[in-house]
Amino acid sequence: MSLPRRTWFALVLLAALASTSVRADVVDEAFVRGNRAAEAGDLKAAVQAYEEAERLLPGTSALLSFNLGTAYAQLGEDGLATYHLRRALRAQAQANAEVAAAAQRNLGIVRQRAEVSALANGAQIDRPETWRDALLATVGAPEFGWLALGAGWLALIIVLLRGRLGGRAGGGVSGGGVGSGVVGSVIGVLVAVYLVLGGLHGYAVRAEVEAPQAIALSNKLEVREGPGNHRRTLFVVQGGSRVRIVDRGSGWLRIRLPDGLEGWVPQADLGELAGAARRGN
Amino acid sequence: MRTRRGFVTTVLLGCAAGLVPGLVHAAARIGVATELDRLQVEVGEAVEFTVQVELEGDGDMPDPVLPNFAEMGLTLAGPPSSFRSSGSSVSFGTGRQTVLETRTIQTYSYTLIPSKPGRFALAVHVMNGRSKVEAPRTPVLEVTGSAAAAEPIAGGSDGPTEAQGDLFLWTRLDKSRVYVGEQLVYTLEVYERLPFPNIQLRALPGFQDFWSEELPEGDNRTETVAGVPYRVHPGLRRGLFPQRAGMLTITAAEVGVGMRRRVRGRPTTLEVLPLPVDGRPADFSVNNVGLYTIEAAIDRAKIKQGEPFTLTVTISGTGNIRVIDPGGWPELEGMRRYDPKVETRPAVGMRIGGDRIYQFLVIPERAGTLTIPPHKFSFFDPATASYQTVLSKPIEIAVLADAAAPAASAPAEPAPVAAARTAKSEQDGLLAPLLTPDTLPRVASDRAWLTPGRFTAGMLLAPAVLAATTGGRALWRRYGPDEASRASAARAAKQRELVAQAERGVATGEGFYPALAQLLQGLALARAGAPGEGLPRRALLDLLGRRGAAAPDLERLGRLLDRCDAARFGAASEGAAERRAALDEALALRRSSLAVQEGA
Repeated sequence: MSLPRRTWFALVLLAALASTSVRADVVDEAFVRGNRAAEAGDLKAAVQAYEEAERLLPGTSALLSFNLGTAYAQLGEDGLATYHLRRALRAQAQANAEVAAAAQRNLGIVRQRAEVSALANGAQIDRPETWRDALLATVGAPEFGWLALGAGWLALIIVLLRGRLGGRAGGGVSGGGVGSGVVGSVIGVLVAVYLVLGGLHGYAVRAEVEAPQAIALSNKLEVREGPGNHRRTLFVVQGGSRVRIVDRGSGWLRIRLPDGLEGWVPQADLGELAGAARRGN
Repeated sequence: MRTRRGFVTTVLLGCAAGLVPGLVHAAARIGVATELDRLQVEVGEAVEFTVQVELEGDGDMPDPVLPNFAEMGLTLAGPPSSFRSSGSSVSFGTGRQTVLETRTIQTYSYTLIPSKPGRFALAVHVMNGRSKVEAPRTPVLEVTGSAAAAEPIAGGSDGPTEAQGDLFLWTRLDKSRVYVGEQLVYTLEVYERLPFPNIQLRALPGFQDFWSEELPEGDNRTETVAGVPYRVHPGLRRGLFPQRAGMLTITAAEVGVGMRRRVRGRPTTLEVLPLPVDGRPADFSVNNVGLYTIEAAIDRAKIKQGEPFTLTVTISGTGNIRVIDPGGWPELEGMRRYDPKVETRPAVGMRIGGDRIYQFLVIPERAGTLTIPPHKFSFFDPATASYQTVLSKPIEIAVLADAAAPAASAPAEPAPVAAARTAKSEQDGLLAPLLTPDTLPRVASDRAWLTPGRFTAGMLLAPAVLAATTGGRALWRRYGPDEASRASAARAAKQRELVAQAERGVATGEGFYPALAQLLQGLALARAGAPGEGLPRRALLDLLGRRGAAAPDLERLGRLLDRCDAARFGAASEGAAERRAALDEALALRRSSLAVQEGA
């Protein structure tokens, strides 16, 4: 009986490994094809190949997002470039130091171009990131959530164990006052980490859930007073601007700029940073 | 009584029965009547024509058939007003049937404005089935005066030379011959001898071949025409730019005096010349007709590399300034120019013109002395009938070097002028280059396990567990086990301690027998209860026997206790194997009939 079971297990494992490797090969193949096209100067073909790799990729890749963003930046598509470069810098993408530094640099250059274009076109652009934005982006990372949770549960375990051990000892141990003080301090620090870090992480996560962040993909995004092309254009948003999605209609999204301006834009003209990767035009 | 009441009832019912069958509807009769509020009017003077259709009995109300007003030169001023009234009556006749009569009257009211003199009979009829019912009296309208002239006259600046009644319109053009795109001034004036209180422009003149701009209206004045004094009101003034060559016609305007009178002017013609072909510059646009100048200026003197500044090009002059076409802009060497913001500031006056301002955002891409070349604008001057080209002065800029100015050579917005150059500068290495390993590093899933929901649950669960534990302890203390349970638990704990102590002493014998003796003694006392306290061993065993303990178990207990006494007081010396056997036997006794009965 044990032999067939083992055989089945081995077959399933082999099948799983085989499918994974095949998919990985296809992704690598598209990625390398994009690299070659970029080296040959055919940026459009490179973007096409990178997007194919992104579509085949089951997870995410900071390097792929960086290359896509940089290729779009070289093509002058500031909105799509900003979107992919920001995706490369997400915590989930787990970019290494080299990719993160390069993405930050290119993002800064694209941002400067977008600011100049906004000035020339009379378009609205989001204000530069403040310390508050940076703080929320940092504490919104899952690591900080884990840290807060770990601190809270560790404090709980210590409190419970101390109660149990203290009950057995009956408080008769000499010198227990010093030990109790140390344990109390540790619990205090852990509770502080739990409350402060957990509160900030929860606030950041809640803000992202209630009004997800998105990037304007079109170089000049017309924002209308209602969902529909027949509605009046209120203002124009420069491509690459960060906006928040505050409402959703049929094929249209209501957005809010950091300075409070609101209006409706077609869903296809926005890229949600937290959502699945989207293809460019 | 019964007979009299029955008689009266019968008479009343009989009368009612005789009345109801005789109640019939009268047959339908149709009539029509017409009326004019005035029988004699002048051309352009409104007259009210009323038509009344009367229907007696059931049936559909027929529409009146009107005369052909257009043939008579009568114009309907707006849609006719109409209203309907109806009433019913019942007539009782001696020896006849009772008749219910219904009478409906539909009244139509038409406002007619004659445009030519003559006598016009306004015959109206209605159709009753196939028969024609005519009005008993046909009103005849007599129109006096002269018809408004319909043929156009050549435009000019001259005034009227002959009096034309108490009210007429006059059109002036400041020029009778102009070039395509050249401005002319159209003026419509109302001449009146009497002060008409409510004159309104009802039909605008037709400017379909012209670009039209409003001009300030003039003032009222008096003028004598062929010895007749008139008050002259400005009706309309427009600046016109003809859009094509040829003989163009401006159709007539019409004013209304209250609701009763209309006065129409005469169409006007003018000759429009095409722009000459000779001497036309290559970059000339047909919209550039007038007289213009051009200037260029920058907003700052000190400029750093990569720092944007504003270049303002202003084209000023007279002409159709809103539509002028400056053509292509000159290339700015060493600078990137973006599409301009365009603003028009029109001048106020009889001559249309003003400033057309083009504001460019310019970014110097290199340091040093850069030059903004002259900007050129070509136009046709109709006053001299010649083409002219004006130039702005060149501007020299001293650009300071700034190494930390990435935007200076950063790729541009897809502005056609700068696109090629900026794409090249990107590839020169300003953007971090693409990373091209052979395999793509990746993360299996971009979805973190710690979702917002899980994080919230985890955060709330920790204090919830703490609260539940604390609460549980409090409840346990409040509603926990009773005295017997606590004593039982304490006894069990004591037994576990003694067993552990005996286990530790199995090998060496140290403390083994005292612990075993205490374990067995405690077992016996627990089984015997309070009466067993203080009894000698034999009496205790007897008591246990009476409490139901099995005799073999009692015998083993007694033997083990004796072994313990012997070992404790040195009467016997046993090895580890014997001690292990003794401990096992004692443990077996804990599960025998000596075990404490729960609830006992």
